[in-house]
Amino acid sequence: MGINSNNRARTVGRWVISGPLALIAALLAMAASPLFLPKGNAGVDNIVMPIVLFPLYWAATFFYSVLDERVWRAGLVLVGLTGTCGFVVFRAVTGA
Amino acid sequence: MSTLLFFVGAAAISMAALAALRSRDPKRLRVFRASGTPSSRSLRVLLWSAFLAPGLGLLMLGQASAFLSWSGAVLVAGWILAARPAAALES
Amino acid sequence: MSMVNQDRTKRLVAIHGWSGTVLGLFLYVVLLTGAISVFALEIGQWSSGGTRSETPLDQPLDARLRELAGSVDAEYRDEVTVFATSSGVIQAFFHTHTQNDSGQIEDIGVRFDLDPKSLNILHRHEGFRSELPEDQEGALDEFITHLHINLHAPNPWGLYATGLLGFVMLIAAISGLIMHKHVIKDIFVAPRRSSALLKRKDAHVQAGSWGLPFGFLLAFTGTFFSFAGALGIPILAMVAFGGDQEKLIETVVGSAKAEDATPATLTDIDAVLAHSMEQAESEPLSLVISHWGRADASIQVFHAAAEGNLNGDNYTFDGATGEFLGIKPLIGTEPSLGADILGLMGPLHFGTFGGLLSKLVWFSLGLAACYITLTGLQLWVERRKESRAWAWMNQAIVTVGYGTGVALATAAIAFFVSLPSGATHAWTANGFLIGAGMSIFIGLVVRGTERVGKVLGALLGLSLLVIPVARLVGDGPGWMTLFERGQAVPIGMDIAMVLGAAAVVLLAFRDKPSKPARKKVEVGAELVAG
Repeated sequence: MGINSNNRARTVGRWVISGPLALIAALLAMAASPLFLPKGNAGVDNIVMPIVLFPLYWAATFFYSVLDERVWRAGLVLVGLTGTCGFVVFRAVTGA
Repeated sequence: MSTLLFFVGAAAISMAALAALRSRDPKRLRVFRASGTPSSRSLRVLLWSAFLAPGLGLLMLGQASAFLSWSGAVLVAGWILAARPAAALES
Repeated sequence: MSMVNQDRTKRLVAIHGWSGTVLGLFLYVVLLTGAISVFALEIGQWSSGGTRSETPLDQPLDARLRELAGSVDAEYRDEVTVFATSSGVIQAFFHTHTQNDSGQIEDIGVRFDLDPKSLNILHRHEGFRSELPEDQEGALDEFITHLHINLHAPNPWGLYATGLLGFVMLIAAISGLIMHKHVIKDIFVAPRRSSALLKRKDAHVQAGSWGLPFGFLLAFTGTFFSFAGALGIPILAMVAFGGDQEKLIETVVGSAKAEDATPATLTDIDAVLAHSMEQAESEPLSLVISHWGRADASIQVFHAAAEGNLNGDNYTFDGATGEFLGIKPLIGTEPSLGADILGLMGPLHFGTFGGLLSKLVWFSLGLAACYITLTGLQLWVERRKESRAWAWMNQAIVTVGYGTGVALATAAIAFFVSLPSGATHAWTANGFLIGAGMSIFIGLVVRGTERVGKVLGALLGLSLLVIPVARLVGDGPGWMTLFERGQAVPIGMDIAMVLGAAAVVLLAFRDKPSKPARKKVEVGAELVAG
């Protein structure tokens, strides 16, 4: 019974991490990207490239969360990414 | 007109290479127990290079439109060519 | 190539299979309509019995545009776009940008539809761009392209849906590549017919392998197009521009001139067009006039892609003095990596850059993607055919596979027949629903997947043959008239329907070779080895 409930917890955790958490992490990474990507020759690459690359951002967070053997580690990494990008975006939006 | 000529020339070379690869593909010959000598690894490398070279040539000539049309066309045509089963199994 | 252990492989198979199973039929509809949408221009010309003018913008437009500018509110002279529809009608849209009820930036203004020969006003409409009545003759190609873009669901939800489907296709391509250990080794192994399961597996794997590069590119660019406007722009506007999406777009698009609202007469538009056509190696497709009547006015002339190129150039002029300012990049005012990459997204996804040649290639790629999707679904069901719960899925695959085609064909029939009435938008949609309803009814009532396939295949073939007849019933010009006018496209489309009907009937009624049942252990060994 203990093993089954552990497996179920891991499965549910994997679903949450590779589903909504991976998407949120990718969206926040896109939102934060203009703040650290180079502006390029035209001065607008840092705005355009995150929008263009968003599908790859999401694919990266999704596949990482699926392929990492340790669910807890995948969760930790994505929560860390979400938190970091979220903090950066929060500061940019509020001007803090 | 020149885009079409570039495309036809490049596609013809690539398809010839694909046909040669297909006819002597080791796994295809083995699975279908077809007659024919499997190609060696070096011959396969040569033929795959011959398949890709026209595309590289189009890029170097700045023929972006012909390159994209070539890349899509040879992949679809290659699939149609590869999807035909070898004759030996049917008899 | 083996990048994963058994546990990871199991997870990837589950993701690849379940995402495909749950959303595969919707993805198929998007892929099929996408393949057909490659020919949107040709469908538009077919719809209107040919184009009224091959080069509508190659004529004096200045006098008429000034007259129209004088008849609209000053705020609508913020931006004027002038282009021709597929039937050759010139649309001049005087507008500004504001947020609509959904919070998205949208154009609002007055649109004039002009006859390309006389420049007489055919129609005048006012409102948000999405609310303006579309060209009646464009109802068919618009129905098909909007079904592809947003499944006819209201935005942003429709775009989220198709964006999600594009993402599912992207992860299917990537997971397929990771799972399949021997892509190159197996690439010439044709589907083996020793068992239905093995045949389905080989068919899907082989098609998926050959289709991988473009499957990835089409999925990536499609996801971008769906999410860019619905998610990307609003989010980045919030982060970098305080929520001002218009400011974001203006910054990204860029302007060579600083703002200056001092009144100034707009330069001669015809002189600008003449200068642009002298320099470019292709015809002008559209004009954009910004800040009409101000010192910071600009005129941009967008040209078709020159021979061999992927994108056309944008010739930019000072709107007050007529001075040629140079060729403007897609974004910003200087060439950049971002502009180059953004400039590839359109050609890679739409496939219209090289005329008929590239369109035929992209159409084939779209059909190949449809085949990959359907064979994947069939493989999934074949593995579970002992379970009665999955039997319905087999029926659904065949029903949707042929039925989507039937529904699109009946939409076309209804469109052509309703052309004289002018109610083409409503009837095209009704025709689609009638065809879909008929297909679903057949799928529910007829027993046996093979029989359903034959019935729907015959229905699809018949529908395709009826379309050219419907075009004539709707007062469309016959082949003799089209030939005299030099209008090859409608003739070509009629022929395509006949060839399509033949292909579909051959597909539905082809003999499936039967093989004696082999021992399970032999089939199992082949599956493991292969």
